[in-house]
Amino acid sequence: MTKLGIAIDLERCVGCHTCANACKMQNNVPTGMLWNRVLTEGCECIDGAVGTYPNLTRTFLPLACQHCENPACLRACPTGATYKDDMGRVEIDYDKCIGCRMCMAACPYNARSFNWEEPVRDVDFNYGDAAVPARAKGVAEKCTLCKERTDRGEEPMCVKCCPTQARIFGDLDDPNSEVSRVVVNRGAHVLLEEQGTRPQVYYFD
Amino acid sequence: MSGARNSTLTRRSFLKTTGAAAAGLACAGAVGAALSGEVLAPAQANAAGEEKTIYTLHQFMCQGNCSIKCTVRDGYLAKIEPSDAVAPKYQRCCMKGLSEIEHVYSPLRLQTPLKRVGERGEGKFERISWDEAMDIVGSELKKAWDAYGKESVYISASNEPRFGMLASILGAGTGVEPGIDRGIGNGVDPAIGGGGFASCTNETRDWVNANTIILSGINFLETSLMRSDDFFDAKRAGAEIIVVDPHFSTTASKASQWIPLKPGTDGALYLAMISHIIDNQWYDEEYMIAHTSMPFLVDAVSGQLLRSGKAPEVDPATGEAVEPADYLVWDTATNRAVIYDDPAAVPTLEGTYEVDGAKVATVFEQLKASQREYTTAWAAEKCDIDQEVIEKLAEKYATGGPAYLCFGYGGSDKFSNPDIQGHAMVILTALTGQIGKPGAALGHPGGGQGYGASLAAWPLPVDMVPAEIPVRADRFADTDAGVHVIISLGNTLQQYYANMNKTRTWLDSLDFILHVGMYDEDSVAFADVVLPVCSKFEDTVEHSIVRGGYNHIQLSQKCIDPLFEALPDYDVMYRIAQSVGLESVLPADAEELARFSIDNAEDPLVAGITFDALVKNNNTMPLAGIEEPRIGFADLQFPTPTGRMEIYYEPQHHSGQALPQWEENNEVFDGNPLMDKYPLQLAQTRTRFFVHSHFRGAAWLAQFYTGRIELNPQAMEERGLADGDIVEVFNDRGTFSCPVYGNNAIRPTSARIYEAAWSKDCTSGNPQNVTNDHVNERDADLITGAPIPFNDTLVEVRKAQGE
Repeated sequence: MTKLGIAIDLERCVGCHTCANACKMQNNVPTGMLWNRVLTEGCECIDGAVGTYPNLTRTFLPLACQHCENPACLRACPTGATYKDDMGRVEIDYDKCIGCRMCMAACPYNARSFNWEEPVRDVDFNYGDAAVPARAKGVAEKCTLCKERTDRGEEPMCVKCCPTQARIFGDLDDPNSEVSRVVVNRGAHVLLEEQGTRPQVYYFD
Repeated sequence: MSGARNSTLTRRSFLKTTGAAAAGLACAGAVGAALSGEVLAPAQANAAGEEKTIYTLHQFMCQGNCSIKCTVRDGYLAKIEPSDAVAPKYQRCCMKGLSEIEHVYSPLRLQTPLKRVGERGEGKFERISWDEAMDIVGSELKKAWDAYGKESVYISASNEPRFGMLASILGAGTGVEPGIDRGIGNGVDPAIGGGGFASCTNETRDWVNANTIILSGINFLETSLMRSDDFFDAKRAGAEIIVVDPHFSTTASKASQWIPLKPGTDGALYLAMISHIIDNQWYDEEYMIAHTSMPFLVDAVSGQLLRSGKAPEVDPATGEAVEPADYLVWDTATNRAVIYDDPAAVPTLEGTYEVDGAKVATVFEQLKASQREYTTAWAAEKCDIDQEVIEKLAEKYATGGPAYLCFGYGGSDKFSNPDIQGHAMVILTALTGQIGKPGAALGHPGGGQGYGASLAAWPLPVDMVPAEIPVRADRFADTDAGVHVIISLGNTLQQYYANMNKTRTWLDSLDFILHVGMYDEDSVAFADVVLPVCSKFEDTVEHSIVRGGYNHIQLSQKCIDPLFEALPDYDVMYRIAQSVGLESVLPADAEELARFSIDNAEDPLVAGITFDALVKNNNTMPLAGIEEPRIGFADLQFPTPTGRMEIYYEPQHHSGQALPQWEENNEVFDGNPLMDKYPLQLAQTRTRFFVHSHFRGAAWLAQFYTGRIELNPQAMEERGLADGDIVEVFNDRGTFSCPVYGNNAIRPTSARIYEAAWSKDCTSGNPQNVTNDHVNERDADLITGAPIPFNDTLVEVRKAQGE
């Protein structure tokens, strides 16, 4: 089996948001929406800090769909629009999505977005990968692990563009893949482990 | 580990944080509407579009020097990714580059030539044709030439647009804008023969070889984002990275240690490190004797270096006398003063002697004396840091193996006297020999400072040279330089001048202002005629731009046709030359120029690289011999008259700065009575989101950051401010207003705003309304003159009235 995943080196993440825009571009994500965001942990604002000056810390937290092995969204989806595919990715069949947003309520990572209106873009054309399907008003969408790229054997655009190579992509089922080795050797952790969602996105320092 | 981390996270932690950004987008759109009559033709839904892949370069404003791979679909720039035509190390493109998908088509683009119809600064224009615009430009240039001569025209050039030859063709003045980025270099470069920028002597690929890297006032992980892997690779290899910054910058947050010092006191820190190294005899005597001016003898009364009296030779090329560099040292073998390069001499570093009746001492002896009051205890108080921190830093730098001493542009260099910091840093280097070898260097590392190559210049008639303007551009408002016409390339009128209200009065006195740029930025409003230029993705020829980028030669390639009525840089330059009948000296088009400048390059680094070879290699090729990181001065020969590090600045003896002496900042210093009225330092720092004022119009970056000033929550509370309040920021020079947000990362006695905000990013006014335009009294002594002390500015912040 194949179980695609990403491990993110939080030491190397400089909070630049390149992953956010790489994803936005590749996947034709409309205005007001990001599938991939970088949070500054513990802060309301981007580039804030935790503590009292000068005793401060700052941790950036890149966040998108965690492609969980046991996805809460999938269990909540009444139509089967959300599914786990044979590469271990959590995907959405937009034709089956009825816009009930149960998945959004279920996802503990707030990783999903919803098209409340007909999507608009800052430019008046569709950008990104031509193979990425357009989404209409009334469907949920989120990180697909760059399905169109990973289907072609390429790495996700966020991984390709990360300026510090903080992102490692690969097959978690292959014990010899770099991502598997990092998960084991660098003490990687997942977000909200107690939720039992078993994310395929790992974080390490 | 995972348990501990997860305990701080809840689902609430992952709430969407795009609220502020959405407001910013709406705002940018509305403002842009004033100038954008044209709406882009809607594209067809993507499906079966015709696609092509183009390899090109990203623009000049940034030091990232990225090679990029673009997908053009149905004539639209649809996708950008790092070029795969370069080695993996150089396959980079950040969120700014990716944002070009939107930025190129921004509603804030200047779309047509414009003619002013309102008052200067009011921003009222009418659209005119290129022919009408060029008629006005030609006649205004000729009018100025007839009335005052060609030197009455000044071309103020930012990095873009790029008109390399225009000043020569027009015989105009240009380039007297050294008030920026050269503040610390003024103190470093006289010792090592540089011109003022003090670029780092090694490149950052060499950071892995360092044990210690000191980064002073440089937010490297934001401003040199494309080289940030060098930072982490060095850290992983065991380097200790120490960041000296008043604010908890991104770089500080990733460093091994952060030294949060008072703004503008970096010089005190480095002076104290000199003292501590001397007191503990951690200096490298052998290096000092062989490669520095430390053993040179100096007359204790006159401050003059002793010389043998050799007659200066005359340079046959310039006809000017060459510095004879005939300095004397004390020879302990013969107990007399001899010339420093006497091979038989055994020079000493220390002692006072008598030579021809005069009391003399070595430079090192003078240094020891001049350092006496700069103890680590003194600096601890000045900088508001622990004495132990300074002492440990000095010990680590001097005794901990190879070390870097790096500094930035955009922090402590923008005070009234950063040359003192630079002078102290170059003396630290001279004391320790931390230069010219792997892991040891000094300077500004921005962009990585790799190998740079020179390309050939197009031959213009010999009488076509720029005019010499005896006054710096930032002083035009105070000193009549005979300039009556300004050609502004990019947003120079806002970026290059502090105290904008004074700038406005001066601009009002000019006969004609031509602005050439891409976006509706602040300089536009002052112009009489505005010419729209293309982004580097649009072109009228296939290849127009060639540059020596980071360790590479890069060539541009056209992705899309010019948008709106904009024209590429070269075409605009050609039209300006044509407006006064001088276009015949130029090549027919930009591609001819690009081909010429590559194929005639004589730089050995460009060996084997031709225009045709570049095209074949997807428009980028590595320079010859870049396998190993650049190590500057590896032969320890410096381009100074003696070939040594000449750390004694004899011409500055009269002001007491032959060796660095502490001098308070102009505004930001304890005890300044002005602080009672204006207690906050205004820090304009650099950020990953913009390159100066470029990218301010990018909606894809406004997702993450919109115009604001940031205060420490403590300073917010003292002023009764809440996040999102509109505040006035003011002092005696002026005022501007914008939203305020609290951020723990800000020093409680500072207010931080990112440098070069457009007025559009503010609720009213512009941050330059309040910035300090003081000129240090030692201006004439400094190799590039005194820096503009943008950050040496005190302000107060209060809730805006009516809010």
